[in-house]
Amino acid sequence: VAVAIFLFHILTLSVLILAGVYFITFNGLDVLVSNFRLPTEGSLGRALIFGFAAAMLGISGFESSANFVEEQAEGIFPKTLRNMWIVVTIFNPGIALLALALVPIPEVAQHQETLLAHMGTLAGGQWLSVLISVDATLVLSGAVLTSFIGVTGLVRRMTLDRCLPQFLLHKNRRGASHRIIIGFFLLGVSVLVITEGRLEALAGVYTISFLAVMVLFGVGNILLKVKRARLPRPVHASWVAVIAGIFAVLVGLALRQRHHESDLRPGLFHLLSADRSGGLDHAGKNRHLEGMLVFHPWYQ
Amino acid sequence: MPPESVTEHKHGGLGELPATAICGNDITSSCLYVSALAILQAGKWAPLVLLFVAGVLYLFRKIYSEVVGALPLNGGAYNALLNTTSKLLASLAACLTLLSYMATAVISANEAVHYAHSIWQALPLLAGTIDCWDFSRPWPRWASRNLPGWRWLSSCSTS
Repeated sequence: VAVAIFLFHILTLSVLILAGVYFITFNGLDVLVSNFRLPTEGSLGRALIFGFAAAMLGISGFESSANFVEEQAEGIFPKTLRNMWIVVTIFNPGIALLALALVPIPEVAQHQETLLAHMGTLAGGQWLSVLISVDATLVLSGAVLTSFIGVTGLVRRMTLDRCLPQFLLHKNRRGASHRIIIGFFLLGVSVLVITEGRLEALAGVYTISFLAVMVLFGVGNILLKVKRARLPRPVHASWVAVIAGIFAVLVGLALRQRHHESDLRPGLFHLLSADRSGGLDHAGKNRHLEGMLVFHPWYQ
Repeated sequence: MPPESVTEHKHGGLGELPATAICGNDITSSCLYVSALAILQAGKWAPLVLLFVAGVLYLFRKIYSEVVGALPLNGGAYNALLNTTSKLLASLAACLTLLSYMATAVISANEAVHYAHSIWQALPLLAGTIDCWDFSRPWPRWASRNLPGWRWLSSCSTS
């Protein structure tokens, strides 16, 4: 399931980029040129630093591979990191550049929530916009799947280290750690019920915790170099790289905290505000989303 | 207690594509909104800024590879800190990781459902085929379908 979603997503993004390039070759670079003629708001340094902090959100999810290494075959882990890096390096700047070539900057704010869908409409028409929305639904569901997988990996590890009660280790006959899954699921539902779907605070939690995890990973790496220097390892990160990485994420973290109310996941808030009235009562009818949202394709 | 040089990789574990797909879904879902955010903050410099972030990610690639290469166990930051500092600090890292996962799961699910909802509203044609799904509230139904859904999912993912 995850593979299908992932490939569909990459395909959709590629189609979007191709359609955009096609559009530009026929309609010229006027929008891009006029965008680049606009003066930078505030100073250049300010734009770069705050832009950097915002863009850090684009790499959330990088830490997830590390949480299920045990399920991966030997030597796969560095490849997953490399592949993720390639995808992010190509698509994030590519799509931003394309957005600049299609949408005048002052209009971006109006289409903030669904910028990609809007780009799709401009470049390819309605069908592309729909394709992107479908893809967004799927890939976000895939992200949910990933977090279930990551959590199971982490909680199992912690339980094996006796940080958590042992009954979590129990596996059902298909080999899935269902108690962890159900527990995490109940946790998610409880958050949703408590916040009544207003997830602004949660979005702040999300960025801060994931950036903090990255920093801690870097710190862990330094400690590993100092304290466990003789542990064999296939790759060595240089000191400069580690410190530069930690520093960069700290910058993102510090600025994030000052900024996070205003711009985090705007699409979510926008959409949420529209539809908070319905109770929990008529939810009995959707039967296709849940399939994708829960579990572990490979445990079986 | 830390298992030195023990490889816990499953024999015949996940290959490159499924493993990349699982974490790729997480990281690439951010493509959907990060361009807008970067452009709002950095204007025309957005592509540059995103490239710079990719550079930072390159640094972290090395960091992650080293840590996980040395300690190939689940748990990420928790695991790294457990083997170098105290259980307390490691648990702190684990709490942060769990928080970030919990937030990802809840936010992504909610956003996914709302995207679906937006298509449904915009397109009466599609609505004809999917009007039996009420996208606005997936949760309670989810819970009740959880266990039966398992079997279905495992059969469709292994095939």
